Amino acid sequence: MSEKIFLTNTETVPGYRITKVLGLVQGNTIRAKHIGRDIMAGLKNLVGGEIAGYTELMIEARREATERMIKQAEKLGANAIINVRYATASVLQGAAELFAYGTAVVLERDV
Amino acid sequence: MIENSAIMGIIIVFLVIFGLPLLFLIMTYTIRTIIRRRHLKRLAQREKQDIAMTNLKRPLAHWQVQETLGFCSGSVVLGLDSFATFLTNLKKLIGGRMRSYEEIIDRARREALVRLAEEARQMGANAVINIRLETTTLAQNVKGNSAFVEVLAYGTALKVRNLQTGTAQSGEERFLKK
Repeated sequence: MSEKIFLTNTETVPGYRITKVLGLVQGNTIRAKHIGRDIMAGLKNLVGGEIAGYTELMIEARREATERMIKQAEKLGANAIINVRYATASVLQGAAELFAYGTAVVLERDV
Repeated sequence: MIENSAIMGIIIVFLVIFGLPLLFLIMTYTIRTIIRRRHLKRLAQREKQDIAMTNLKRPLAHWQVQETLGFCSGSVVLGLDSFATFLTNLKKLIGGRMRSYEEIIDRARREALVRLAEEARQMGANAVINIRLETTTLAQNVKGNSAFVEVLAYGTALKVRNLQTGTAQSGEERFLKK
């Protein structure tokens, strides 16, 4: 647990105990596609296969959403977020919303 | 003479109407098959990793957790190709299994899981617990066919010691099946 905020999607962390629950934290971002990437993706859509540009876009967007969530947790004074979940929805044609949420807690090492 | 050229004309018209789409289908089918085979081959190689992956919420009873390394994820966006869309549109008339789509989404899931395993390995983990898989269709084309599928896999990376075998390795049957 070297980083500032520890993320996990389990409910408990082995070796640590939860001393304080600070509540739900969340972060979201909506990303639209990019024309240049879209042309390549359109071509790729004929033959199938991975669309690396989109994969990158989604990873980047997800990082952004996670960062926002972390910022909220920092404000609350947490040192970890447990039970992190991701959700994705396409809100408009060509845009996707990425949403991350979890529970901000204070963890302490078990002795 | 006149009859001959008329027949030629009819043949040319037929070729243009049916030949070009057919050629297009054959081309996309060939490329799609190559991409698919390559992907399946690569997947089979990369899935051979010594890492225990489970969607259980807690570590297994005979694991001693040495370190909780935290969140890790893997994702991939795959395009549904035009040949699969063509097949599916035919299949929609009679219903039943859509094998071509099934296969594409299955490949996307396997790829996402492999990437998750690779990220966990890089963090120094030998087990991933509480794995969740999520599938989203990203964009839709005019006909309403979903054009891209994104699969995200995420979980918590652990470094564990197997108490039964006493090794640092997880020593489990690979949870990642071929």
